[in-house]
Order: sequence, then C-alpha cells, then structure tokens
Amino acid sequence: MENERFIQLLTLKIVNELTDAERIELKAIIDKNPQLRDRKDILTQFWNKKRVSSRDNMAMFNKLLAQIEADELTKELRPQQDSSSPVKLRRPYLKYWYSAAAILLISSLAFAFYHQFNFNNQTLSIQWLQKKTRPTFRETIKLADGTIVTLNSASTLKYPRHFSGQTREVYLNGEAYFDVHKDHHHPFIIHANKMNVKVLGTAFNVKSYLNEPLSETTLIRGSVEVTLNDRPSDRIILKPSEKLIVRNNGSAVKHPEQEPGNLPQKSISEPSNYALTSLTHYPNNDRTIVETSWVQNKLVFSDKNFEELSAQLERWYGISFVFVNDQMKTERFSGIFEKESLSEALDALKIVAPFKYRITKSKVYIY
Amino acid sequence: MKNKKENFSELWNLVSIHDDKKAFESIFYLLNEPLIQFCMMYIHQTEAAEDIVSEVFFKCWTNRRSLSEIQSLDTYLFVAVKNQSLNYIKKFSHIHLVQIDDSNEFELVNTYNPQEALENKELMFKLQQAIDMLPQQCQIIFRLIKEEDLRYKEVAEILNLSPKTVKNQLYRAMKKLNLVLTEHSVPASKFNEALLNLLFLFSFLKIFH
Repeated sequence: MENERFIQLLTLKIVNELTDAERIELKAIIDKNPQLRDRKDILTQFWNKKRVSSRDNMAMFNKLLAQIEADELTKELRPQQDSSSPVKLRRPYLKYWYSAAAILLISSLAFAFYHQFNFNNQTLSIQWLQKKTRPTFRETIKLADGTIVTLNSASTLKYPRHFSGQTREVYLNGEAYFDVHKDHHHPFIIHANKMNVKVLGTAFNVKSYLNEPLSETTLIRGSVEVTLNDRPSDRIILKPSEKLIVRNNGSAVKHPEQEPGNLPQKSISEPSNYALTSLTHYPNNDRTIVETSWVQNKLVFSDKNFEELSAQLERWYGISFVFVNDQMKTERFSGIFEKESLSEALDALKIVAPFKYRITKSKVYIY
Repeated sequence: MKNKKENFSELWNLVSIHDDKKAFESIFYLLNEPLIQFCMMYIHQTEAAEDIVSEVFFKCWTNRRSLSEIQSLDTYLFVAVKNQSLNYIKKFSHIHLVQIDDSNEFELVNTYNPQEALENKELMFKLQQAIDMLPQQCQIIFRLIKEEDLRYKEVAEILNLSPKTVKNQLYRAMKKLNLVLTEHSVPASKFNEALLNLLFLFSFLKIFH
C-alpha cells in the first residue's frame, strides 16, 4: 500500500538515511497525494520538537565532584578496620574523617575535623546527652542546631551536646517528630534501630520501637532519604505525604508474655523488607493526619486492630494491656481520643465491639 | 552526529588517559540530561534516576583507566544506566509507591515543547500521547532516536537488540503517528472520498450515456 511506503520513506528521511533514489520516490508519492505533504510537514515538525531541559547540571556536577574528591581522599590511605567498635557510632563518613586528619592536607575536610576526634583509640570525644520519656509523657527538646524534637511517650533520644563534623546525628528508639533546622552542608541523620533517616527537608515523623514489629518514617515537609543498616547502598527517598514502613527483624520482637523464659534468638538475619505507602488520613477528616496527631495531644487511630491499638493505648495511658483471650485482638477500631480517661476510652471502644474490661493498678484486662 | 562522536572520543581520551577533570565535566554536561531522561523511561522517579545516573558517572570516573579502550562512551554510559535501572527495578519491585494527593500517577516526563504554534498545539499533543501509549520498548527506541539522535546501531547496542528490530520498532511508532493523523482528518477525507466516488459515478455514467 502506498501509505505504508510513504511512512517507510518518511522514516528514512527523518533519520537522514534516504538514498537519492528513495528521495525521488518520496517526492513522487507526495506529488500524487497532496494531502501527504501536510502529513509529512506535521510529522517532521513533531520529530524536530526537542525536549526542553530544565536541569541544573552545574549543581549536579559539583555534587558529583565532591563525591569524587572525598573518594580520592580515602584512597590515599588504608582505611582502618573498625570491626569491634565499642561505641555504636559506626558511620559511613568515619573513614573519611580518619584519613583526612592523618594526611594533613590543606583541605577543608582535614581542617574541620582535626581537632574533633581522638584517633588513638577510636572513641570520639563528643559529649552525648540522652532524653528519655516515660509512658504518657511527651516532651519537646531543642537541639544545639535549633532542631526541635518532640518525643512521644516511652521514647529515647540520644544526641550530642554540640554538633560537629559533616553531619548531625542522633539516635532514636521510640517515636519522635522532628522539625529540623535547615542546613544543607550538614545533613541531619537519625539512627533508629535498623533505619537511618537522612533529612533533606524539614518536618517528619519517625516511629521505631524495638518491641514492635514495624518501624515507620512519615514525611510532612521537605524530603527525606532513608537507608537500612543491612542494605546500606539502597537509598529510599521520601517526598511529602509518603510513609515508609520497615519490618524490624522478627527475632527482636518476642512478647515476653507469650514466650516466657525464651531469650530472643538472633537467627540468620534476613534483609529488611519494606513498603512505601501514603499517609493515613482519618476517614472523616482529611486534615487530621493519623501518624502525627499525637504531636497535638490527640490519639488518632484508623482501622487498627485491638492488639495494635493496645500498644498505642499502653503508651498513651501508661498502663499495660493484657488480653485474656485472643478473640478481641482482631477487632478493628478507628477513632480519636483527646481528653478521655482510660475508662471513658474503653467504654467508647465497647460500643463498637462488645468486650469487658477490668482496670487494676498496673494492668488492664480485656476479655 | 559525526561531530558528536568525535567529540566524545577526544574528551574520553583526555579523561581516561590524562585524568582531565574539565573534559569529564564537558562529558557530564552533554550526557547528564539525556541519561536521566533515558533512565526515567524505566524508573519514572526523578530523584532515583538522578541518583542512578550520578552513580554511573562516578564509577565511570573511578574506573576511567580500565575503560580507556571504549570506543563509544555514550553508548557505554547508556548501557550502564540501563543495567542499573533494571537492577533498581528488580530490587524495588515489591514496593508500591502511593502518593496521597490528587493523582495516582508517577511523575510524568514532560517532552512537550511550550513554544508550540497555537493551531498545532492540539495535534502535537495528540501525537505525543500516541507515543506515550506505545509499548515500553518501542517508546524507548523512538525517544532515543528522536531526542538523542542515536543511530539504529547504537540503539541496538544499548538495548541489546538487532538493528533491524530497532528499525522496525521505529516504523511501528511512525505508523502509529500516521494513524493518528489519518483519524484526525477523517471527516474531511471521507467527504472527499464520497465526493470523488460521486464524480467517478457521474463521469462513468456520462461515458456510457
């Protein structure tokens, strides 16, 4: 069919592979079918329409150059083997700092860190502080760089009195909301059990309790990069409204009442699996974000089963929950608690799914 | 196109043998955007694509000595980016990225040129849509040839196909575009056809009258 031949020839023309004979042939076809001339013009125009580039190549190249130079710096020396580092302060940049100081190069790297670290015995002379909240208590602290951290109940934050070095690093077990002071030259990194959260933006929530099977990072503003300890080369970047859930290694999670006497076994470590999902909005109220409503003193839960909810209630009310039978564990609830007392809260839940409860001094029994 | 090739050979020579960082910078400026766009045909996420391409450049520099024999640097980089993209996809295939707001779409690569003449705007848009709906491989081939001016052979090398397959896929894309144009102007042509038929009939009758 002539149409077919037209396209063949036009394609060749467009990639500049037309022979002279073919060029003549194409012209003949177009002369015979004038409407094809328009086609040819339109298709040629479409073909010549190039994509508009809006990338900041210079900035990207400078970043790459910095990476190359840092890498070349470390290659000058043999990096030390920190196999048995006594402090759990293993960081990716540690190598660079050692190398830089030892060479005595006139480079900003060397200069900045030379005075900060004691190289003989691998301990770092930073003074560490710790903030630990009790169940039912939330606390807000301000770090040396201006970052504001709101710690949820039963959480621990370890942070240095002063930040020094290329990065600002803290350690978290529990849940906290971070409003990070912007400083592009010193990335803010949060070590939370198996996750490392590097802040590229400003406000987000990290939830990582050792005694819970899942850890979460939820981003509210800016952007955040998450890496996992057992897959250091994977970097997951979160953008606002995204949430990353990481499965903590199963062996750390034995509930003491289920398996009395058993020490948690560290089995063959399996790589963390993780899922990237979106924030949970409370169904009837789009503005209330479930993950961070605790910062405003509201306990919000959306379609949680009783077992999961009880963990939250435990921290909120400071009392342990015991399920007498397993039946109620799978009942699902959604709701918001603000000023309710424990019994008021339980009464509210009872409306949804009938159960009985008994409150003693230290425990709540559900049956 | 030939000039570009020679350019790369020269530049790469300077980089791989003489450790010339300025030459490396030139290569970066020439290929960063194309490689990122290429990567996004597989990955659809800007930051991830930028990171992957950056890694490829990094490794390219650190291994420059051992790669000095490479004849066609741009092809090599495209292949590297492709492989890294496929690795990335494999690693993250169990992750489902959901954005909460309006659309559930990934970030779309915008190849639309805003300097379009008004009367053609709709047509160009339709053509672009047609390309976006082609099977992935066909799309990638079309865009590599269109945007990066790569030859059949080069595309074939990058995607590990035969040059003939590449050529056929390009035809396929062009045929689709032609189809769009045909459908776009169907009312007119149908009318013309009808008119033509009528004329034929008329003259036919006249002859036999």
